[in-house]
Amino acid sequence: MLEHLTSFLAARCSQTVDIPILQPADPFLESAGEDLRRRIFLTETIDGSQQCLRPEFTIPICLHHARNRPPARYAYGGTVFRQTREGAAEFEQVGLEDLGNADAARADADALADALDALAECGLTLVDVTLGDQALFNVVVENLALPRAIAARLVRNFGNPAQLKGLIEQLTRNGDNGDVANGGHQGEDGAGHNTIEKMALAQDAVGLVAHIEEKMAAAGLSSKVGRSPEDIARRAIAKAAEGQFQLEASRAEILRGFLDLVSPLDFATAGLKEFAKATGIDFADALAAFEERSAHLSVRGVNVARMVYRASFGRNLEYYTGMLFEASVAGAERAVAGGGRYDSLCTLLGSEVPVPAVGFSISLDRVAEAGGKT
Amino acid sequence: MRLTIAVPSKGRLKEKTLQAFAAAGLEVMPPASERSYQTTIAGRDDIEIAFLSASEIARELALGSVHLGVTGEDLARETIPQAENVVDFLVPLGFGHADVVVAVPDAWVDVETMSDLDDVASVYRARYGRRLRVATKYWQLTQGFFGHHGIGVYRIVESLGATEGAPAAGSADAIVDITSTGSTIRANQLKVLSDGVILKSQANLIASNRASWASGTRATRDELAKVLAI
Repeated sequence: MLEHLTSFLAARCSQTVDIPILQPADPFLESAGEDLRRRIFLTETIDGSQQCLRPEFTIPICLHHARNRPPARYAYGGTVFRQTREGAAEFEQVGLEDLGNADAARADADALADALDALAECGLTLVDVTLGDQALFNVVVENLALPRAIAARLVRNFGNPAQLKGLIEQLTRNGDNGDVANGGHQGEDGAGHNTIEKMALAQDAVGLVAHIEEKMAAAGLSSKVGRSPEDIARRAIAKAAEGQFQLEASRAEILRGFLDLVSPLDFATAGLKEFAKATGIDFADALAAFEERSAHLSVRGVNVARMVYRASFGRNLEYYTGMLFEASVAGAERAVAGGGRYDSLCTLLGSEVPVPAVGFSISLDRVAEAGGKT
Repeated sequence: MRLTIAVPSKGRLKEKTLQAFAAAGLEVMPPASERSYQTTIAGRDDIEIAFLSASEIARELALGSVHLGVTGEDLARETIPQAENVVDFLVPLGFGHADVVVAVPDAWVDVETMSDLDDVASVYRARYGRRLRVATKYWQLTQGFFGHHGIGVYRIVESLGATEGAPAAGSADAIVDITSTGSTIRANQLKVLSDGVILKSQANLIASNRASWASGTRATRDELAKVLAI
């Protein structure tokens, strides 16, 4: 089935790509984060560089694409290696990456439709799809005109509903009992801390920089490497201003209301328009793109009524930028396929030009669990 | 079947352990020869003592090759994946106190909490062309704690000693290390984040769930836990 599916997808792609099993570990750890370290098989070469067994295909394909530029759809299939608490550590995966295609709505719809077609090849035709969209959440946050760091924190936590809920809760409480960050200073000189806070509140950048430079010199820290005194002072001033910030109930309600939206995809656009009208949020291009994508999905013959739009659904990895989806089969515990738009990944991996990107992967062990042919 | 207890083989941890055992009426006999790392407890044929290094003790507990061990909770949690399923922390022994903490340069006047560190880490790559680097020998504890605070984008730099010097040496931006009084951290112009205490550790009597608990060893364990509890 692995070979059949790979060639099935390859027939819809311009390129197939050969990704070696042994990969440099750095790009994975650098883009997916330190948390990945305990899930991959790491090894060290004689010259001390870290290598790992291919944990997935997307990152190597993006790296391959960076040397190869023109827009392309890549199909892949093979074994990936991940550490799990129980059971197997190697899994078969097939998938597709569409890199450089500027028509995002159509590329999104095609990726999702191809994923469903591939699942149908395995005999899985009654598949439920959950779909989310990072771009819509970003626009909601943008509309609320929040302080920059707070907006960034919300956006960063999209896809982690519990964390996000806690954060909103905390923002509404801010200011009730003074600056939350001010507690718990054990053994530090309170006077110095107060001086800094006063300078930050007074936006005294010059004074702060001098103070920070002194501290850096005392610690033997180079002001040329990493965070500079100016960077630290700038953030201290911004933070002092935000320390006064309290998210009032009305804006918190808008955020919560948005995150609670759940509807069949064919009613989602109407629901979002209603939400926009009720709250005054202007979704602008993001909603137009959402609508266009849904239309393309219908054109591709996807059963949109079987798909659910869940506003809070996402992945909190910083490189996801738009649509996210997960396909599952009733009764099976784990999703059989997942994918999404990750326009920031190529940039993160060092590409000088932004590369629009969307893709998905299907896990064959999960397909088997769900009763599909493998 | 004899019950095996792994005990630290040197330093203050060994001294304190032997004192705690003595106070509980358990006199650890000197090994038969200077080269030997095995001994017994006076009048107790059912107990065997194995002298091991503190980190080895955690490993042996994970393997189940000893029944009980005395070592720091920090080392046990760091060395044993999913420690709570593999071992039982029976008795905190009241010595070997050390906190595992997250510390940043004192010059980072804008960073006081993990949430501040999250904000700073999230822009590192875009602004400085690399991730925030955290020097530590506590990989597991760091990953767990940072993950709990929603921080995913940083890199761990392995540190095998003098972790507190890493920021000044330019090899890391922040550290995760143990401290008992905080003086080493302060001396290096670092500060502990207000919610940056990962673990308040001390020496523990720890039982391995993977050891074979046959014929009376379980009763001996319960008896030891009772007499060692302060």
